[in-house]
Amino acid sequence: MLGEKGFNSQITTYALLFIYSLFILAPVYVVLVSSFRTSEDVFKYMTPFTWRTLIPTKLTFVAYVDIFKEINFGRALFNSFFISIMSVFGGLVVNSMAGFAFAHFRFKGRDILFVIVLVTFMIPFESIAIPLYNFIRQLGLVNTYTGLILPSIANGMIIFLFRQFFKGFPKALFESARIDGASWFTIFYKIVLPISKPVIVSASILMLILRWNEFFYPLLVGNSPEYRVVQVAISNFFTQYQTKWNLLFAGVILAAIIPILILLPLQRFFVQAVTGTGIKE
Amino acid sequence: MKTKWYIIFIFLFPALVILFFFKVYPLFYAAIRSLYSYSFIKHTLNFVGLINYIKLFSDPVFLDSLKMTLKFNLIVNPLQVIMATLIAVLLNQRVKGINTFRTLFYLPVAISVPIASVIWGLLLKPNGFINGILSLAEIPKQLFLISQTQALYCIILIVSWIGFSYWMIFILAALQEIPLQIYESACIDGASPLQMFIYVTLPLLKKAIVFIAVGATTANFLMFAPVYTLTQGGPSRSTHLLMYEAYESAFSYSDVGRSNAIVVMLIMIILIVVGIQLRALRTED
Repeated sequence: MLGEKGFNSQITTYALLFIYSLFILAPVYVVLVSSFRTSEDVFKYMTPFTWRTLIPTKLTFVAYVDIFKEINFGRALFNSFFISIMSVFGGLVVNSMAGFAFAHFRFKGRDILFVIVLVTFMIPFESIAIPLYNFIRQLGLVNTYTGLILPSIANGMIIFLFRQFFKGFPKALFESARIDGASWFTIFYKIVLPISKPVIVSASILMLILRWNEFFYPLLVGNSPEYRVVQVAISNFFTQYQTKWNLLFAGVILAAIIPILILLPLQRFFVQAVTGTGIKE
Repeated sequence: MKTKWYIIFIFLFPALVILFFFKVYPLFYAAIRSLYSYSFIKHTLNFVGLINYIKLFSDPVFLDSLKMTLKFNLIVNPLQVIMATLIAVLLNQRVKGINTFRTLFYLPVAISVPIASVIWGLLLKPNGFINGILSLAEIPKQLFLISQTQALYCIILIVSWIGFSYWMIFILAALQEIPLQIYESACIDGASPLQMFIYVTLPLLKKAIVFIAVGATTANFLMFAPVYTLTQGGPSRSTHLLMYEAYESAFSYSDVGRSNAIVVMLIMIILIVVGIQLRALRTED
């Protein structure tokens, strides 16, 4: 089937794919290799470039041990896990309920309210982080888990995602249950949620990655050592201790591995979530 | 089917109340607080009208940051939109093993901007990996992030490492919705691949391209993490983006009024730029 022209264009495609793969993988690979070196060795082989730059001669896990002992990275990991999981949990509850109300309840002002929700999703969290910090401080919630978790639970994008999914359900699905006298809460938890697994997975992944990778807001609101999340801890470490490079490399790997392990296998759901809020209306 | 009002209320209330207090209210707070100035002597908040804004426009530090932010965005946004589109087209080719490449190309999406900043910050050190690669081509050592002329471009590279992949997702999804028959008929008409891309593919991608142009603009005007982590605005203020300026105003100089004025300015700039983008891309319809 393939003519010479088709063959050449395949070669070009592979060449371009390969070059861009290097651009993506090389930084990650260098960091991974460096995290298994001692702090003296980290920059020793970087320049000039030799085979030792890419292949370490002696491997050590010392960085992965020291990072927990010396900068209390365990605390940061715990904070990131705790905040992310609580946000996802809370987010699933409040956003799915709001999404359901917008999809299936009829009430005055629904459309205008929904437009307002959509507008809030166009206000990026970063843009309001500084004024929000002032408000959080007035509430006395700086350096508390409540302050770090609560504001990001409700999310216009996730409400939208749930509403779109729930809109696909026919009214008839609830009607017989209503006639049998089931309350809306029973219908929501017993009928709606069990058949909504795809959107729950999509929304969870999206919220989890957003939360885990969040930086600006936790930098402002969780700046004391006990409340620092991974992103803030690594960033501070980079600017403050310019010697223990191998610890930094190990920290970067630990911070990146979580979202990578979630995103790559469950990529399909993530893509559905982000594109579902984007192009399709 | 009429639903009782309190049922509706219970379903909606938690989400709406959080959105109102932590998303809508801060926006109004920023706008109002930017009209006030705090007196450290009398410990009072004083209404000063537009003084904070007027002061900004006679402040060379702000004007410099504004210029830097516009320059950064003028480069980074078109770059990300064009590259994301080209990479998506590349990933839409039907060749063996393309799914592996797709998975691989999603990798940077999982990595946060501060983490990517640290990764590239380590690679771009004068004795780092990139200079090692350059030494293979006998190119002398470059200063990168500590060079006044190169630092901003390094930050563009770092945020694009994620940005290309992230915005590519949307274009690739749109590409996959284009029915094959359209290409087949264009092929029969004797269109070259380039012609097909320009006259068939691009018009069908318009909506997705507008979406990523707006998304990239919003994200990049608010870019903060690489500046905070890598350069602190330097060297010689060459990477002093407005979001960092707003942060410094509030947290290094305790000038909350000025900080909020900058935030409001940034939001207005984003609205104007997005408005221009929407109009420019709509007229062709």
